[in-house]
Amino acid sequence: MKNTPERPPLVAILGNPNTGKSTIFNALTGLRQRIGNYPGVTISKTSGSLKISGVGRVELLDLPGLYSLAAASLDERIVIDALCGRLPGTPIPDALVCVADATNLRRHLFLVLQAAELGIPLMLVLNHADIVEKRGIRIDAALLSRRLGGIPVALVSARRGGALDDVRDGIAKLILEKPRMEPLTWKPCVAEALQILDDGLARETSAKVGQPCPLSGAELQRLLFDTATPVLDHVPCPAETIQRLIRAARELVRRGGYNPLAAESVLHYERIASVLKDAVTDDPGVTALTRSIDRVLLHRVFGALIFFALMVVVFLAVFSLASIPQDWIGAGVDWLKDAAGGALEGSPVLQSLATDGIIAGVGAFLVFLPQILILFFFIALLEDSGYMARAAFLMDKLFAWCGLNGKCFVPMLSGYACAVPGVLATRTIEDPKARLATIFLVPFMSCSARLPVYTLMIAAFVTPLCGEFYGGLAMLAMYLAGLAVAVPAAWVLTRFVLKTRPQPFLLELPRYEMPKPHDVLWRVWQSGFEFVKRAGTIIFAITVIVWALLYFPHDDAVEEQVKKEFAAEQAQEAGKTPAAVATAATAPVAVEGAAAAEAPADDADDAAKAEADALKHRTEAAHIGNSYLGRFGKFAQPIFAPAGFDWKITIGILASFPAREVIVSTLGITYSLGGEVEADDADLKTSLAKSVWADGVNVGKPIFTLPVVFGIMLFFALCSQCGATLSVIAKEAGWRWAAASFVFMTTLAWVAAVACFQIGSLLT
Amino acid sequence: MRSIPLPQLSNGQRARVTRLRTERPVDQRLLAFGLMPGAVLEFSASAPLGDPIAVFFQNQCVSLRRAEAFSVEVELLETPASTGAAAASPAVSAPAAKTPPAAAL
Repeated sequence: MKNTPERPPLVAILGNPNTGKSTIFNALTGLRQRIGNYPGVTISKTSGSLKISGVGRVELLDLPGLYSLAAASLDERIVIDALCGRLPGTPIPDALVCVADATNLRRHLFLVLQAAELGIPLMLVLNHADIVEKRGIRIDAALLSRRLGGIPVALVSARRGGALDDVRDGIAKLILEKPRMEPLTWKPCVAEALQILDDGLARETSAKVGQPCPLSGAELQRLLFDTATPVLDHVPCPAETIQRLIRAARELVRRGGYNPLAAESVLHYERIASVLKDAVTDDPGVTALTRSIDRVLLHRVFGALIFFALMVVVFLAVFSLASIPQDWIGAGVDWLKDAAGGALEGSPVLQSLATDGIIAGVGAFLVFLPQILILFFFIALLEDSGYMARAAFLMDKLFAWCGLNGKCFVPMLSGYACAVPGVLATRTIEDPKARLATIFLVPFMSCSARLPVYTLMIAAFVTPLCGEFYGGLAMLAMYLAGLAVAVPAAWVLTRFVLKTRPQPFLLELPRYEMPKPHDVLWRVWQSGFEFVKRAGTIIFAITVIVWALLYFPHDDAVEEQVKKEFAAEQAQEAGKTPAAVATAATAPVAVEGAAAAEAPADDADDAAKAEADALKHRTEAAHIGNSYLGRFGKFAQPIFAPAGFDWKITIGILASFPAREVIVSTLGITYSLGGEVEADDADLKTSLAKSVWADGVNVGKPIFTLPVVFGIMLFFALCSQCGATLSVIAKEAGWRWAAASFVFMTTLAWVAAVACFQIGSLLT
Repeated sequence: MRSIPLPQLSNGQRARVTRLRTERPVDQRLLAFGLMPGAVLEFSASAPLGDPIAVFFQNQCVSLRRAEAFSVEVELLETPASTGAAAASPAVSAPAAKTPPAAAL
């Protein structure tokens, strides 16, 4: 054995999308990951290890699914690079397990034949043996093996949980005996062209870098046959030189009577025909049922209607159905807060940390779980049944013009309920650039967290001033604002930033299958688990940090100051119940303090309680104003001055960074009403409507004019005030994209708010 | 039988591939799917907004955009009851005409 003892043998799994590659990988390694019925399920690099008796530990690499080594997209290029040992940290695989769909061997053998040119020991796994059997197709595995040069051929049915002993034995044989599949005997013109290309590149690279060109035969073939291939990046000479050599080689092929760009397919398919002859009986209409279903589901009218009906169901489930468990979570969090608050009555810092920091932080990411679980339940159903590809087919035209494709629809739709599951759902998009663009766009969809902001502003100002009708219109306008900005943004992003060349959108519409409950539930569980593990911690951290910034320094002097002012005000204004004032002023902030003072009459008791509450809220407001974030808000207010925002709104914006809806309770605190206000709180509405500028040029004028109100709503429609979304973007696309998304959305939101205020002020 | 671009077929029509462009990545993908001269295909569906289209060939159903499908030239196998407008209109196959004859494939 030549294997170095330090590194276990690396076995790569190669195959078309949708062949059950991942299922086989999971069954072999025991390391489960998602299983889909949608081309392009495997996006990230997944590896695992298994033990085989007589061989020991083997490293297994699950490569992204692809149809051909002629690479078009980024994930396909990764496969070529991995197979040729061009990926840092990934050596050339010691063996290949080629997974093929036994129900469409003709097409699937194409990739296998291409892979045989690599010269790596390989075996063939024919999946879906159960379907083959049910259809009465006979496959002579022994004959196939002989025709392919004696490589191991295993017939399995991974979906049925069939035994994979043959695959294990095959892998053992690959490592111990290294059986190689015979490469194609190329026609003389192609062989000559490859030789000339090799010689030419060796000559040029020796001249350039002093050593011959280190390309393998398979890499030379990619250069000769493909219009674009990552191999080009690994040749150490100028692009023009390579292209000149390639042109010369292709000319040879052309003179031999073959179109050089088609020669590979034509010759491989010729060989496939001779390999399959008598080894596989005629396949009687693999997708007869599927084709009948498609006559309805792809119908221009009925297909579209069914699609929209399905999407309405998905949306309502994510939007409404999820709100039930979300309410439970909210209630649970409130109960916990009360319990912890009561238990920690004695130490205000711990109390606030526990209730407003930790418990609120846990609640902040738990509240997303129902939506994620429900959305991924539907996504798993759509993918595993094979419908997702049809949905992409039906919707593609809507997205094609701005560089996206039909697969962007479901994530964008989910964005209207919540951007967090929407961003996670972009995993179904196989084209990495379209996926990035969609991740960027999903947060613009008007999610349910924006609703409280709209509700508060519209109910407090728009409806009273303009009437119900305009209130409704304003709500609709806010829902469309995100879309109106996102569509041009998509166009600019794909055209100028990502520079997406028009990607071929060749999509296989796979066979319909009944989703397996086990697989669906696994996907649901895994999506929830991954969210909590990967994004939950960050969301939690953000919430706690913002709590700390809003709490500290929590100066006692502030409290004393407020008490003094309050007492003075009370004494000056009324002077009727000095006892109650004194009680309220001297007692601790807590309501119980006032109640314990045992005022003589009930109404006096109520009055004292109300005053104590007022004092408590005033103190809270003073503390938040004096907190680090509050001080920063006052300092940063000039930034938002052009939008007509005062420092209280500015603090609200800063404090609502973890989640937009926090603005409502922050406004409640800064306007001395306590943090428990709801969006439809009458006191908050009146209080906002009554607030006037305390200083500056507009002193005495109301702060919340219509231009300001619409400015606030526009700001929240476009801004990126959602720590959960940003952390999910960071986990899916990297921190740089999260930062870019934040900067872009915040800038856009600011510009929109300022424009709204300035133009609105001119008009009114 | 005259060749027409694939997108000019209508639902349910069967045709044989006569020519295929080869320069674009999508053409190479079609070749990898086994769509080459001589292959018989059926036009399965066209999406509600007219694009993309779905084509059935060799026991597989593949969706592609119309612009990409212009790579493929076909000849009709069965003439449907109505001699469709597609067959009557002059074939706009200028791009395909420039391609080196794929008959050599």
